[in-house]
Amino acid sequence: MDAEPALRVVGVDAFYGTSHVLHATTLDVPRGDVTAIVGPNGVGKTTLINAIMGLVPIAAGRIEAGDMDLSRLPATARRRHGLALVPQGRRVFRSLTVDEHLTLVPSGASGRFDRDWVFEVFPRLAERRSSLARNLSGGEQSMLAIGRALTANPRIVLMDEPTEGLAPLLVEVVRDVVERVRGAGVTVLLVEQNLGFALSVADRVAIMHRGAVDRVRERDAITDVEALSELVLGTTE
Amino acid sequence: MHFLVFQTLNGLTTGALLFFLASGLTVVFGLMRILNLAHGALFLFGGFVGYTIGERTGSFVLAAVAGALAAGLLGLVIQQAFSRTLLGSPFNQVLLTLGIAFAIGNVVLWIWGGAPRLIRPPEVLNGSVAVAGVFYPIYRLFLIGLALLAGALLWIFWERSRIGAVVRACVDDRPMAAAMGIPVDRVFAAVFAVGAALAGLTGVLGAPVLGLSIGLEFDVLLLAVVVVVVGGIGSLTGAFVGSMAVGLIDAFGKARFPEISYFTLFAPVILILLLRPNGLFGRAGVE
Ligand SMILES: Nc1ncnc2c1ncn2[C@@H]1O[C@H](COP(=O)(O)OP(=O)(O)O)[C@@H](O)[C@H]1O
Ligand SMILES: [Mg+2]
Repeated sequence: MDAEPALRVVGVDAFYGTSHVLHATTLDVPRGDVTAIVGPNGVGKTTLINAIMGLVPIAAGRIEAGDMDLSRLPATARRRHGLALVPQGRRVFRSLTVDEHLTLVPSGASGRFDRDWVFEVFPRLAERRSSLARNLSGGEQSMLAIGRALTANPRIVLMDEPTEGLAPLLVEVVRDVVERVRGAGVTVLLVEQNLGFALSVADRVAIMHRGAVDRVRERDAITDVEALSELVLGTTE
Repeated sequence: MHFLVFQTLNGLTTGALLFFLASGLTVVFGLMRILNLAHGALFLFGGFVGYTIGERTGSFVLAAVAGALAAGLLGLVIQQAFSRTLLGSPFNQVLLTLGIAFAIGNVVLWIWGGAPRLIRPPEVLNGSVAVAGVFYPIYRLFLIGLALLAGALLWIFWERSRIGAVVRACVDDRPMAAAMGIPVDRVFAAVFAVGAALAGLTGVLGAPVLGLSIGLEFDVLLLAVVVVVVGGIGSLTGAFVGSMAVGLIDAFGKARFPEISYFTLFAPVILILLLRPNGLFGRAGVE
């Protein structure tokens, strides 16, 4: 593990109106591997991911990538500093075709993840390349949301429940893609409800409680999965 | 029979002008959720600028270009100056854009005076030709053809070009478009300016038919808003079909029942909205 984290979240507070969702959240995301965020529903995982991407404003704290302070930058600029998002609920562009999603932003000459790469890992998308996203099945939309984020060739990819609602076979495909992305040196920050999936791809697990990350466990140090599961669900303290 | 042909052509002429106006209005609404009530004033302003340039140079083409540029520039200034208010509450938008509409009307009055003006169509398009037994002005036929061409070009640009895809992405999900690195603010500004330029262009193109007079801006605005609502907010196809439908309904209504032409215009409109609350080509989920 590098000394310098790829991404640092320092004491971040976030609100929706007057409802206080993130409470001084702090998290270091090491470079080049997979960190999973787990925690009960409504704890603020999506809010944290969206705050990192710049889609939710932060009221206090800092978000840094490398030595760059992203805290006040709009989402557009954060993308240019190497972040990309696979959002919860897929949020594909309903009136764009599959092809248009994967060529929306220039991949850059050296970009290793381009449309062809996406078609290789998700052959189903190649078959549906001319279809509008609104006519795709849920699974196809999930693949498209992952592919769309990767064609931006990010240094850090934020994935918010990418396996939500997927058939077991497709979950395996997504696992494979996450591993290939990791193999390419990209830092992955993953939100997962599915603890089994999280433990199978992540190098460490960050557990959120009451709007903050309250502990981080290295994968190798996790022996008692049941205890971890109880911890995540908040049945033990 | 002659009545039918004549009024159909009249309806299509009005429809053509409405399409130029409504296409900008509907795309701006679809993208930014802004109902720009100053759209008619930009139309009038472009028309008067075109009038002056046409008088000075004698060129209709230069007049059209100048009208489009002037209105586009003014639109850009408005969008930049008021971008925060424009993206705010609908109530603020209505007040602001209506206020701007009146202000532009007053500026036009101050610069050009209150007398109505007319722009002559270009030489080559003077005169009339026989269409199905009816003599009809060539210039009006030209407008109908131009609307068809512009509709086709806009559609290709919108559906097939990469910039079109970028704008559609912003319409579909603004935050996600930003997260993909699309400069959403610049897309907004550009679309607003192009919509305003189209309005200004329509002011010049329409002047040989409608003339230019203070008050016209609200007449055309009303019709354009009707087109946007009937066609479905944010839909270019809807703007085209809606323009032609409203143009035809308006022409036949005014010819047959001149005393109740508002009724003959709005009764079918209300009927359409009862049957299809999101307009002909609108989709659920867009307010
Ligand atoms: N747009 C919103 N407006 C108001 N409250 C919200 C919004 N989004 C989420 N919340 C609330 O914030 C809390 C955290 O939500 P979220 O970050 O989506 O949790 P998670 O992803 O961990 O399930 C929840 O209580 C949720 O109800
Ligand atoms: Mg969530």
